[in-house]
Amino acid sequence: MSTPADASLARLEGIAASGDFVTAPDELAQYEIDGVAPRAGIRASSADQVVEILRAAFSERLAVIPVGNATQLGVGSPPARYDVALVLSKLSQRLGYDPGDLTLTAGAGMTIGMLSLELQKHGQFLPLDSLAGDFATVGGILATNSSGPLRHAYGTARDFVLGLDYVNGEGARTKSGGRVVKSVAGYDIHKLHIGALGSLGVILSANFKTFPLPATQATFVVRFAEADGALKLRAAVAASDLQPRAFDMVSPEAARFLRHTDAAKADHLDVPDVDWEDTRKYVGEEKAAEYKKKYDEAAALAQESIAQAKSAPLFSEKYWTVLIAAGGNERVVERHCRDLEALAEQAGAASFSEARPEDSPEGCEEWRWIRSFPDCARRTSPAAAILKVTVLPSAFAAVISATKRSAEQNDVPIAAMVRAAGVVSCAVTPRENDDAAITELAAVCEEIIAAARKAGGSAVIELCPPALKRKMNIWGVPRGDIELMRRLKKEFDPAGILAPGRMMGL
Amino acid sequence: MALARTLIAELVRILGPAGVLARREELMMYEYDGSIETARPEAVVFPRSTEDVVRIVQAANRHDVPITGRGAGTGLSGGALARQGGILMVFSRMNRILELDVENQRAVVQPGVVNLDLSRAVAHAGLHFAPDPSSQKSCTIGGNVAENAGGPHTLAYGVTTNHVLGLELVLPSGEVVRVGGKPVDSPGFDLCGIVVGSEGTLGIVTEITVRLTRNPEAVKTLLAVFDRVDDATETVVSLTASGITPAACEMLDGWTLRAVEAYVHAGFPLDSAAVLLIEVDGLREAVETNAELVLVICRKHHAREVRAARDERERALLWKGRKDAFGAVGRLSPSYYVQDGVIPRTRLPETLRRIDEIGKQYGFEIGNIFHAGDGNLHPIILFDQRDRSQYDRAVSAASDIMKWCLSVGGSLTGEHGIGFEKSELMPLMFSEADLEAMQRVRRAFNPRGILNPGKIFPFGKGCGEVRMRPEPVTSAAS
Repeated sequence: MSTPADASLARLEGIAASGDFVTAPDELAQYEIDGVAPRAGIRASSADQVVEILRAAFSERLAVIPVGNATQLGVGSPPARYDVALVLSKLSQRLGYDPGDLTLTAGAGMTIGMLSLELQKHGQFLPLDSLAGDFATVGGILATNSSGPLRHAYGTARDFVLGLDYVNGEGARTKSGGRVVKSVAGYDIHKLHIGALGSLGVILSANFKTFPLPATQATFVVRFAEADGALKLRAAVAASDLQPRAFDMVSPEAARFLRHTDAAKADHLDVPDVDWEDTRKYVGEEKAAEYKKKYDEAAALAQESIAQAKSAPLFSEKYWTVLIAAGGNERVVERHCRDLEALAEQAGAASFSEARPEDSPEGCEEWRWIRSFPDCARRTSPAAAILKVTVLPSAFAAVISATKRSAEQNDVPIAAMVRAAGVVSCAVTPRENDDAAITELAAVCEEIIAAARKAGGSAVIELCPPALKRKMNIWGVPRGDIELMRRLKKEFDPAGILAPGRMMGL
Repeated sequence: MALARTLIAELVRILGPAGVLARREELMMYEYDGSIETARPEAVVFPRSTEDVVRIVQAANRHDVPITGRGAGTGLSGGALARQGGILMVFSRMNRILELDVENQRAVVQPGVVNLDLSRAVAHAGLHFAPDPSSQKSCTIGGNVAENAGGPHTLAYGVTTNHVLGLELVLPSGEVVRVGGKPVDSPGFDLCGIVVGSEGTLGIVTEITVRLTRNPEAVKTLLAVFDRVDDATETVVSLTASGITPAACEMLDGWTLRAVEAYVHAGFPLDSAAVLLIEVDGLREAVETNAELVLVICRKHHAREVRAARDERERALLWKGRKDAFGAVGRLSPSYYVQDGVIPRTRLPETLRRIDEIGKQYGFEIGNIFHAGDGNLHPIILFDQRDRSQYDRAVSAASDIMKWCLSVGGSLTGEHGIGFEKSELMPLMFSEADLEAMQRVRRAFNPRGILNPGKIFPFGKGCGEVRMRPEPVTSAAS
């Protein structure tokens, strides 16, 4: 039953190793995006294969979407076309690490968990503590530009990605930037790929600046009866000499679902399969065993923490909970404790406590829950939508009260998690998932987008049911620079085969 | 080739007679910048507003004449020179700070605002603008954006791109576009990120939104004195690996420090082989402990002496020694050529030995004063431009140093930019495909190549670009 379309796919089949080209519907389901499955999935084993695949896709005009461990495929618009899932999880080699220079090159398929393991041995880390968790791959994290609590002190990927190796929409392998901590040679093309959802190129590997782990870490938990107190504390800390590593504020509604995510549903946590045979091939027996151990441990830990959903004790439904991470030498942490307690009291805190000693944005239970915010929201509601609102800190109050108003008027729970660096994550969690609920959800999202705009910022819907994506523009209000983006897209992907439609409809 | 009289007349209509220079003797003032290159513009214009810029761009378009932006002209790679003639657009009259938002730690400025002036304007609120090139007393923020400028304190705080959140751009078509914004993470491609450091080849920046950084509670500046260059470089390697990130870590070798000392009297010991200027900042508690750790590491590597600046006056003097170093060098050699290579910090000791060898091979004194903590080298080749063979050998020596940097995995430039100084060296670092990708980015913004032509891309890569023979000059400032 070969059709002409199948013939073009067959060209790809010859490129991948046997078993790495799949067309069976049950196997393709894992690559589904917003209900759209590709016609084929192909696992690339090398950079050269990616080049070959994209050259073939370019000449056959096949729409290709790069996939890592498929943890964040829900981010972005539904694909306009989707022929091939180009799976990069096998590009999981650490390609270079110079601990003395604090630089690292990682293959796109390497998971953040594996990377952390390697870095920890040298007392270093990468501040990519994204919401997608340890199973997300380097390529996926960069393509979605996801960030976590540590962005407060370390910024986002654009601040510590030094260079990138990628393949464009014609199959040309290209690099930008360098592998040293400072370089201004040529254009910073790597910045364009961060957050581009693979629409400008397929990332093969990235060069990072790594960071030394602080000798001592601590987390401080401050509770306030009202958002106002939490915001007061934020302003006071920003105006102080303190240098916290992370500063997140969790609304009572968010605490509710962080506490009460149904543990029974949590059994379904999908831990992506890793081809250990392959890993052994690349890094050797010993390293592969070590990676597998760490991977299994992380998986067990994730399962366990989900099972303990109801026991995240420091979040309270009655309060706004502020989590602050500090790090440095012992005296620096003590100083943070002392000063934060005093500032918290001045801001009218209901309680102040310290979680120690090993708790950190990487390890502490509460931070892990914060990082699982989108997951918890989706477990709470069959039609959860998560909006990323970016505003100046002075506009936090306006955004919070607008969401509160929306929640009351539409009778739908809205949870907020406010990152002091300037990001408010709003989870709208309808109780139903029928047409009426989706219509209502669209109205609420429009209200939040309008509120963000009024507050001088913007809002995009990061995750939501596909039905909502068909109803509204998830990217918020169209920007004046869209025409430039269109021209860039045309230059990098003239045939429009890279993740078509996924990025702002480009 | 002179600009059409009608274009000059049009420019005068837009800006008034005081806003346009077109006489030869006036134009000669603008044929230099901080590099060893020269190029004379055909008209110099001084816009006062975005509207002025738009009207000039439209006029230039009608006459098919290139435009090159210029701040204070302190750049070291020829970025602000009108390589192919045409209009040089100088931003000295667009020098207003439009907004200071202390609560959100943001400022909105016009491109002609002088770097240090912004920090001074927010000093009362305990804030500053972090990028601090040595020329910060005169260089402009527009120029910093074009070159993605660094400075000593970028070791801990990052370079210009880490502190710019939004831009207003005038495209070569005359369209005005805003990229990025005041809040973080603007939706869509990171257009602000691609424009910063694009050396004025993608758009003309007319407004800049920057992040302001809180001044540290405490600062300690240490001077470590070494009898061997290797001991100083090994100290930097150990410091980096130890995980202490100093706010700055600068090195001056013996030749340079003696030149500086004779001029600035900063207190550098004349008989030493190298000094490190190391600054730690942050909370009092962090500064005290880190300063002690720095001391231990310096001693481990046989530092002869480590002393701390006792007060702000001593600290300022040490920094004056660093920041005025190029002025000091200028007193000693008829000409000098400042390099800007970057290497992995683990390769520092062997790299300085290699530079020394290259100097001996070509028969030049090469001084070293640089951002050691970033691995960002500034070897200074001292030569006499009046001797043609010396000039050629100086350029060859520079090229050998660059090739070495690349051979150990480094970069052609850490903060000065490619400009037209290094455009021919780009193929050493980037493949045909890499350069083609950059061409495509340029095409998306600047399809006809009328903005700052002749920069970044090697000869033959641009749109009918002309290779000009560089003439060395003596002045430079890092």
